[in-house]
Amino acid sequence: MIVSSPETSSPEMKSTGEEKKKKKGRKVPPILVYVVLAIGLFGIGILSLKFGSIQLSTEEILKVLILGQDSLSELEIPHSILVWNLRMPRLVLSMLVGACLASAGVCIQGLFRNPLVEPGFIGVSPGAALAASTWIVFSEKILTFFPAELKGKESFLLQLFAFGGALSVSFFLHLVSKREGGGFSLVLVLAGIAVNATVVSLLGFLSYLADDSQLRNLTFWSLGSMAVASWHKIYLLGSVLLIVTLFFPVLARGLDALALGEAEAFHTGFKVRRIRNLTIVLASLLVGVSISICGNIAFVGLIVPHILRMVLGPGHKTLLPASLFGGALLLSVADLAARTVAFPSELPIGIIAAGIGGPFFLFLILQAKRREGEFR
Amino acid sequence: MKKIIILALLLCLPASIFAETKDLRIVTLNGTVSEIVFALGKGKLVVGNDTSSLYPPEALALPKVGYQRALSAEGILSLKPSLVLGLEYAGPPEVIEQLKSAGLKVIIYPGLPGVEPALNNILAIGKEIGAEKEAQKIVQDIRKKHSKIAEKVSKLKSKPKVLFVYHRGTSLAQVSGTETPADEMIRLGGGINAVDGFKGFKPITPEAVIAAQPDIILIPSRGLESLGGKDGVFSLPGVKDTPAGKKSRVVAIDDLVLLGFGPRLGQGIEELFESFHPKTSEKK
Repeated sequence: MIVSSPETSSPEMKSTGEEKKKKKGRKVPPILVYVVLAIGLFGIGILSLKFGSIQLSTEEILKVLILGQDSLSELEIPHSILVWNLRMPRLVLSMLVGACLASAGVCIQGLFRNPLVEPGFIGVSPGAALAASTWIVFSEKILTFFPAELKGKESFLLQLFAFGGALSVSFFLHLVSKREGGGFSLVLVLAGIAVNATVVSLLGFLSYLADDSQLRNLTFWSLGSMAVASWHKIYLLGSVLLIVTLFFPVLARGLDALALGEAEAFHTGFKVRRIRNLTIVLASLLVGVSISICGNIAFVGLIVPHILRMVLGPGHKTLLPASLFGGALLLSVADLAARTVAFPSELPIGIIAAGIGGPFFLFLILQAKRREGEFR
Repeated sequence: MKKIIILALLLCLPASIFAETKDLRIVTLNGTVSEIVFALGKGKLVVGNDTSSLYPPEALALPKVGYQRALSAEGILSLKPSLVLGLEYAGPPEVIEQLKSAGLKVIIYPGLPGVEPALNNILAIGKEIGAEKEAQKIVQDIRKKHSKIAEKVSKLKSKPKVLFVYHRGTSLAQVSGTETPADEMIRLGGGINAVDGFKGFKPITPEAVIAAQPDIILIPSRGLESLGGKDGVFSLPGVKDTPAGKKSRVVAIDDLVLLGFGPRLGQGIEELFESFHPKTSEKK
């Protein structure tokens, strides 16, 4: 598929790069990080299955999971239904979405060589949401001759459109920032803000065209929710994520090479353009499909890679898979909070993600400001 | 002591009567549906409802399962209902599916605005919760009021142009076009919707308001409150320069009476007619 040089760049090689944004990569053995994340995921998994309308004991959960039977036969709502139809789909979907968004965050940060960008606020996720919303409104208004299963929210074309939206924005931003000649690109951030503003206005225009029920769908995109979880959606998003992980080794090598700078990457024998295009397509695929399923959730792609970079250092070989698990952990925690904090009502998960992410982002900016050269 | 025992026995009575209707535990997912269940005298069976269930006051005091379009399956399940009733707005659809898969009896009624759909819903819910007689009575009452007003409306020589304004909290005020509950109610009350260029709701613009030239501004009570009374209505763009603004004609009616198409539909039609045609109703 992609030809790479025999001498794959190792993360350690990078510290001689020109823009040393993250020279002090505190190194913790990756295996330790994986173990901690795995324990965390297992723990949150148990908690998610435990809490809700009826609190289940760990024993009851294990019975349902292993034996597939209820501890009591005379239940109003069988535990197996509670676990398999209500809690498990939400848990798995939030893990998948978190994994997708965090991995996409790593890809986009690597692509633009800027640790402070995130699919959400440079406009990639909003682009996907806009395309998805456009599809919802127009498929029912204009494509009246289409069969019903191809229209609106249930159609696979929705995912396709969302992917297209994310892809267009990423590609546009890539073209804009390319002229900058790499490094931290203020133009990229400004372009991202401009894209975001444009998307917001277009969404406003769409909501003007939409009818009442479509409007509810549109407002849903802006907040995000895991209440829509179903096994069908899990299979869809799971397959997408699986396909993308197959490219992780290639991506990791490519992004490490890009971190050296374009010319250096080229001289070490990488096909820079090919790596860039691959990264754009895969990141857009992850963002587009996630967003089309559960709405716009921001900041996951920023927080997770950042924390893990502090712990693991900047090498993508460990950063990519670790972010995948880290994203799964963060979003499953957020969803557990979303559905238990205001019980029996529910909070939109997007609000929780942004509530954690916004202040965190400010903290990052202030930190970066303290370090010299970050904003020049 | 005797008195207390008798009292205790009396208190047990209603409970035993309910036990015969196999102790339904109802969760309602819509303000109109809640109102119907209470009007049918089965309010005691309701264990929870959504945030749009504002009437009667007893309904307001019940546990809330969230907004009817953003429901949570576990939240509803936690109330251990045996029957869940909603209108077609209940959602997201996935949550309704989850409830059904958990073995709950979920019934979703159509939410079309109109006298007949509203009466059908009342009858259907009455049948479902064992209150058919009460449902018949309410339906007859609404039919009587509706036909009385319909006759008056048919004799009208002129109908006022009515602009329906919807406003909640800090959001933009919107006006109603065609195919909305408001549009239907204006017609039933003997008015003409001043706006007929589009379906559904659109944000208010001064030109549109002035072009519509309404004689009356119609607004739900809670909307009037959130605008800060009549003065707030006239401070909306363009409203002051319309006939309604000059004559200061604002009609405010309780949200659920006006738009709910529930048990108080007859009352709503009457109130509207009286406020649209004060002279005609005085002639009685």
